[in-house]
Amino acid sequence: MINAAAPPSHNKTDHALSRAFLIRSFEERLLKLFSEGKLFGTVHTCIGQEFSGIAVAEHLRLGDVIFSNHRCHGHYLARTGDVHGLMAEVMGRQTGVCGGRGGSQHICAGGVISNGVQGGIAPVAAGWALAQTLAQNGNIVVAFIGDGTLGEGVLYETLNIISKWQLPLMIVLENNGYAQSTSFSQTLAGDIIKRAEAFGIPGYHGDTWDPDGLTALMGRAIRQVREGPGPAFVRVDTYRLMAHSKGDDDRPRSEVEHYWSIDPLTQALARDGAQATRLRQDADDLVSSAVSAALDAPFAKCEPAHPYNIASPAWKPTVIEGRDRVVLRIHQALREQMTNDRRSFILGEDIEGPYGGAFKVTKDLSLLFPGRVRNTPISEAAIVGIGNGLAMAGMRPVCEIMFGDFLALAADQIINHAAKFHWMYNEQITVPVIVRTPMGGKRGYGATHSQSIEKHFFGLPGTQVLALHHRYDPAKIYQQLFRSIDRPTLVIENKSLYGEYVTHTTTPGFWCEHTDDDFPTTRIRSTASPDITILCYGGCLTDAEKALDRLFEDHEIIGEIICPSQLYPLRLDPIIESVKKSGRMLVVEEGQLFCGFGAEVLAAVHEACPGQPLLMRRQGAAPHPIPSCKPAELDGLPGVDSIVRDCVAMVLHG
Amino acid sequence: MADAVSVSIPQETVNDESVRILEWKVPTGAPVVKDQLICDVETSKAVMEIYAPQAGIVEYTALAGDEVPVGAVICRILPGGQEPAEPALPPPATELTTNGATAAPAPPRFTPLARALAGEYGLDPLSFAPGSMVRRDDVLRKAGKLPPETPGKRPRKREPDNEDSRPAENLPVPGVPIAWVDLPRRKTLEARTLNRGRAMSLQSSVTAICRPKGLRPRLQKLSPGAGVNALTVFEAARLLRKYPVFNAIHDRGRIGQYGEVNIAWAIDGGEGLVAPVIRQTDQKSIHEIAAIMQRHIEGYVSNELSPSDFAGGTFTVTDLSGDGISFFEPLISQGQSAILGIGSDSAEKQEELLYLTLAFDHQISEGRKAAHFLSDLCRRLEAHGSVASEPSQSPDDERYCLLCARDSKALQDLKAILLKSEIPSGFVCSLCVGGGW
Repeated sequence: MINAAAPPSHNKTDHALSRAFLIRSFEERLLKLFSEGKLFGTVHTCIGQEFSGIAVAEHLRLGDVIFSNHRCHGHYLARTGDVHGLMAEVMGRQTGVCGGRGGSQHICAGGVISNGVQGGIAPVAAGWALAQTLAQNGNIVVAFIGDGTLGEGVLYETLNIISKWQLPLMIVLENNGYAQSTSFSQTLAGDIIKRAEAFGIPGYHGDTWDPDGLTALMGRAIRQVREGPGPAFVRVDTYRLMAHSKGDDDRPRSEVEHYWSIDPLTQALARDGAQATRLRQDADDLVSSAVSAALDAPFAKCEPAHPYNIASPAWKPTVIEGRDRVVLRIHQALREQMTNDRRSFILGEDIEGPYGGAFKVTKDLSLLFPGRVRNTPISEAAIVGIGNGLAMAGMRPVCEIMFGDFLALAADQIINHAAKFHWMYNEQITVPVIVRTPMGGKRGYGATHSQSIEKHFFGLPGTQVLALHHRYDPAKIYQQLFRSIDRPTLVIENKSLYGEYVTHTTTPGFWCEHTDDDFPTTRIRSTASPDITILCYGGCLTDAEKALDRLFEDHEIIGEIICPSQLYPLRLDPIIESVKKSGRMLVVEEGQLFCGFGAEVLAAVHEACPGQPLLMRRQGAAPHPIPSCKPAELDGLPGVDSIVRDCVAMVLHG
Repeated sequence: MADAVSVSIPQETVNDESVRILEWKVPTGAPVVKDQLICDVETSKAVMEIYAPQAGIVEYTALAGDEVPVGAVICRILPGGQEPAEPALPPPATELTTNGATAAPAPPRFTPLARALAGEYGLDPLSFAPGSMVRRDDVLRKAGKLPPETPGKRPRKREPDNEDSRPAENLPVPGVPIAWVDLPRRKTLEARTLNRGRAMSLQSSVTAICRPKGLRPRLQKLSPGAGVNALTVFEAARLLRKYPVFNAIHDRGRIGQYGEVNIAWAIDGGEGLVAPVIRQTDQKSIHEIAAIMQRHIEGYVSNELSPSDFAGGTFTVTDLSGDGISFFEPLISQGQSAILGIGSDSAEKQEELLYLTLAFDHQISEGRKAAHFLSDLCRRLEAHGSVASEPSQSPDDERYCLLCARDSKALQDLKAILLKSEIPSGFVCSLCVGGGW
């Protein structure tokens, strides 16, 4: 799995040189295989930069972890020497370290985890480092970034937090002077190390043309981080002797040739021909055998991220004890979890007491669980990224995003990190991170604090999206989630629901029941056969219930509400069961309709019921941003009137 | 045991495409013997009787008042002793208590319409299944006015109540030059109102000829300035209390009866058709009505009628008698169920011949009731004309009948008396009371 290989014990300089030749030989073979059409996609080589990873790996212990980037082969081989595993992985074989699913940029083995997106790995590494601090195990984390990563904002969110929280994270910046084809002289303002120092992080500066000096420098930096408290930042000047990936090298030949001449491996071959040549030959032989082995292995095997087979739904009457508001039930579930499970950790903006979060969900928890409920800077990407890192390291983090709209700022962490790790790393790790956030309008907060943008997070294989409502105890949802969580989970808490009472008492003549699932679908029904099915989730349920009442009272129409608490993956059969009874369905959502929840459900129901004359419609937000002006806002969002209107039209004219 | 037999309207006896079920002679679910009269249906020509083809239990598939296509099944005769199928209900809803035990069953829930109907049929609300949702049809079913629901039937599909109010494109004759002129907005509004009224109703009409001999000279004495139309409005307003179905609206199987009689009357003096409203017409004297109509005419001419003058009409009177029109079928306005047209025969001015046409919504009434309304109206108008002597006192004197304007002396001759009346305030005669006040 991700435990590091035992650190080398024999002669350090020889070992470093042999590792460097191994990396060089490995990557030169990749370029050859690529030109022969035997590799997929692309490869990013570190030819010329080998000693950076080697200098770090010299000082790491078993529990330490390296987070790397798209140019990760050198870091992985420096740490593990696992030529066979990496070659098979890059060649897309089941024998690869990630079963061939990850490929060149996405590896997870031997204490090295890499991802192909710039910057996003930094807060993940910080989260892993935070887990080590909380466990007080003395382990440290190293994150490799490139000079191109200096352009990513999330890096600075992370530098700020790791310094403020004094996390054992060493960031190694490999400065090869180019972001793909763009020279840093074109894109970099100011000074690199001063950027880190501005956050109060000690800076170190070395280069790969002096491998021994670099190894010593790394030793000092790592000792500082291990002894703590706090992070370090190391700038390693180096030069990429080959193209960024392939055919995109338009650097001047004279410049490249100069660096070839001062390359430590070129010089070693010149200086000590016989030994260096032997090391090189050993490396080539090992790489050749790895290639032959990989060519014999089968290609990656891809299983769906969500095996999902359920028989027809079994309904149970919903019984909710007591009469508490939604916000209190969430609070109680979090508090219970914090009490029972020391792996739990809550982070977000303004969540500490006495303020207790913008919607008071975490009120008092920071006082009850000091150090495990933490205010963060306004850094949504870092909040979720740290949550990802914590979860990967075995914690049970809960990230609060103050307004659902701000999920956009954390989208990379959800889409390109959390959602990918489990499957992409061949199911070697899980990311049990919970991201809670209030969505929805009707409070007059305007265009950027009122949206329902969850649809952008539907359909990410390997994740789940839940939506709370007040006809099924939100505490039960959270309890079940904490019990069973094995994947990134987004929980939508509608703002307008926080103040609603959690009860099973709905409009007279109707009652609530739910499916026998972890995250049930609620049905609000009567004894009569329904004329129409109203499908909704989250905050829309309150309006749908009122509409149910008015439809009966004013229009003699019997409706049936279906309200799933799990939106993705969505269980269709309770919906289909209802719509087959009623023949009509109105889907109500607060988000934009285009490519939204309703669009998906209508398509899926249509596919599942071929040839059936079902009348189905959607209702959602008007196609303009949400105005602050409350009457105009209400006008543009689904409400009791619009639901009644559409239902009546469908029943009467359908 | 014999199979169920379907009873339908025999084709050979009628020329119509459809017939109306007038009256069921036995309730649904009741046993009948062979050849027992079970139903009267109304054709365009006559009332036809339907007899049971075999003994058994009657199960309606259509209701009294329904228009049924000829050949369609109106009921079934189930083999004797076989009860009509009760709709299979899911387990009744019960109030769930927090410990999960079930407490007393919840009472059934009624829609307002269902509750009103249940009261009308004298049905105990608790006789409906506990926890059930009771709608109009459930009450009608229980009252035997609807056949039992068939389990597993397709969900009900209701017919649309109105068509798209947008007019269809009308194509001009090709090859002929044509000049388009936009209609004034007033005209398009008028068209929309009439269109909607027509779209929402199933319009039918009946006409009666009224001979109120000597009415006009009598009117001049009774209330100078008041025309035949004022008197007709005055009398129609009172009759609408007796025939509330014409002061009503039909909506999806329900009748909404207006709590006020507000008669709109059509004016068209060349400036466009308008119908200002006389509020609470049935509580106003003929003088007040005449005065309001005069004000409306002045307002029409000076273009000073306000929107409030047009609000709230529940019935309309339109008078084309002054234009020498004898017969026409007026259009029912939106939100109303009937309109009265007045025509006359200019060639017989001396005899004062009025053609009264009542156009009504056949969804909530039928020709017979409209005929009764018109004959009552004719009788009252003719009564005004037939008063031989003039009132001994001025028309403002309280001691005359506010309805027929006969004074006490005239009434004495007819062996009738004046009765004190609250609404309208004053006196009405025993003849008018007996006539259905």
